[in-house]
Amino acid sequence: MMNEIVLEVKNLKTHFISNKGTAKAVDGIDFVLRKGETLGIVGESGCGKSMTSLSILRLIPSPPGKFVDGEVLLNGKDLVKMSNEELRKIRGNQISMIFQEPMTSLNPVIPVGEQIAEALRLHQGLSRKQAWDKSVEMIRLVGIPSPEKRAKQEPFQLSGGMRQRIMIAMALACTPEVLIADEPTTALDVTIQAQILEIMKDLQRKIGMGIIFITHDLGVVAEMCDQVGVMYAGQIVEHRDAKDIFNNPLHPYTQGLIGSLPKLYEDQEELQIIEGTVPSPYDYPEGCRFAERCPFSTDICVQKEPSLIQYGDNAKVRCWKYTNEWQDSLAKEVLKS
Amino acid sequence: MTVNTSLVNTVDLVLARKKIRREKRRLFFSTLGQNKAAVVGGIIILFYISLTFLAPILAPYDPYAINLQDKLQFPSWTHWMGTDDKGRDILSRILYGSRLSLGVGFSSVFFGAFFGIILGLVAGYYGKWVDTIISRSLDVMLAFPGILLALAIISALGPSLINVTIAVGVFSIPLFARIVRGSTMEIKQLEYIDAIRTLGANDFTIIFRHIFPNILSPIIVQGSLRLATAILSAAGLSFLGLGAQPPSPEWGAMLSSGRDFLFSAPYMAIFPGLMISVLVLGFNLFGDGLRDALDPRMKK
Repeated sequence: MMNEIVLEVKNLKTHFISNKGTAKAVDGIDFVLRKGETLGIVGESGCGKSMTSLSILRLIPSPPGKFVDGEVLLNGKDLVKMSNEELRKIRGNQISMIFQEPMTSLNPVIPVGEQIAEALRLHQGLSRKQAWDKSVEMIRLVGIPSPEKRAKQEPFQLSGGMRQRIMIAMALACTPEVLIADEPTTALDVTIQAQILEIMKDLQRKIGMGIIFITHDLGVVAEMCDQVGVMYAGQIVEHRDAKDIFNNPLHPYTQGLIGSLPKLYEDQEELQIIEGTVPSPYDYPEGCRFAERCPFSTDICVQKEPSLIQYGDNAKVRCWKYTNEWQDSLAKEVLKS
Repeated sequence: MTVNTSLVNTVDLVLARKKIRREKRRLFFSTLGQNKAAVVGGIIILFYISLTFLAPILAPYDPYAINLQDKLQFPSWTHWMGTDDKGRDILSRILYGSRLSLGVGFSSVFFGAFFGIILGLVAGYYGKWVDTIISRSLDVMLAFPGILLALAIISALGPSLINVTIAVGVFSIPLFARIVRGSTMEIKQLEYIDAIRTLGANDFTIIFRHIFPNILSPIIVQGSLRLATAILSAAGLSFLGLGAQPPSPEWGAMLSSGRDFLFSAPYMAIFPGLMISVLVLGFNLFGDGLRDALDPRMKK
């Protein structure tokens, strides 16, 4: 049974305009997030993952950022067209976000309990006392011992893992329908990472929210996500069920990514790498953005940009390789040589 | 077992927290305390502030009582600092005058800080054209020499101590606004401001609850240094006859009336002058020390 859709992003484009030109940081992102589902967005640094999440909440500073095109539908209502006031009521209430760096995402001069209480007072109109009690409850929920004491402490008195739990408590205080987690465990060590992921899954079961999980860690994707979108150069190049992507990656970039993971039980001299570098966002090539680095590229890949095509029942891939045109183009090349 | 460990943890944490608090405070005071000059400055300021409260007890005479028989007396056991041309006891006048001088200093700095902070926060937070308008207007104000600006304001409003306060305060606005603007711009791009925005906080909350407490240090430092200048400017304006009017025992005004007797009764000018210089020195020393302790980046 398919759950109902909470968030739908259609053709989202966010560009940055500077005197160097236009950087197409987010260049046509589409995805659908259902209730209780986790969508992973993976990709290397600078591919536009974080910009996508900030664009959804309309937190891109403008200028230099510019929203170019697209729709962000939350329960069918377009966030892009909303006034700031309407949007403010949605932020923290229906969509929340957790940031990468727990050390810098809490205000250093305000006790953490009050920071959590703030969201509750903003959106649920609770009194100071009620909000405080609820925030202590949230701190308990994310598994911090003696929450009454912790709530009164300031961020510098907490460890990184605890601060990230506080961030989660803050984000989830108003039981949002969508949680955007922007590399929430990147700054933490592995044991704490496992705890944080466990807490997030646990709270997801309780609240039933959809999670957009942004990461560059494929292991975390395997652990957390139902769906995965692989991003490359501002676009989603492959959209799959998480369980399929490791066994049978379609896009050459995804194949490269998964191939480059060190294998635990094999004695490897060198890790497999993807040749070349990511094209500059100021100057994307005309054809496929991965063509230059792709072992399968043919004339058509360099000439024309591929679209995200349906492959089988529940996979989408942005690659010519799975089309007849590619077969033709390959055949031509073979004939020529 | 679990209960036990968590209890132990809690006790440890509470202790650790207290320790950290104590350590922070100790560090602040030790940085400040190691700076001998700052300690001297602090003592001077405390001394002056205690004078304002103790003036009625310490003053041997009524500061306004004219006694022409005893005019222009040299400092003696009956009149420690002598008497002025109308026979008023200079020591008593200086004691009562401390209230005026410090009062003008503090209120003008508060006046300047209040508007400066608001303008700086708004300019720094909103940026773009809001910032351009505010910053350029402040630049225009800064382009005027301070005394000239004060003269212009007073000639418009009329000479009085309150108008001097306003004039000196107005000149402090751009100084506070600049510092606050810079710090605001620095804080607003930090991640926790984004984080609070994703929770749906409005601009007012972000500015006053989240940014303002984080930029207090430079404001306090600027305030303490500004006090010295404010007191000096206020005394200067009174000296020029634009501020406190006779018979008010404001130090600048006393200095001004002592001017005519500089050769026959120099103590009429020396004592108020000394009081002003020592107070200004105190605020400068203390302000420098505060800056080093609170805001090491501003160290020159």
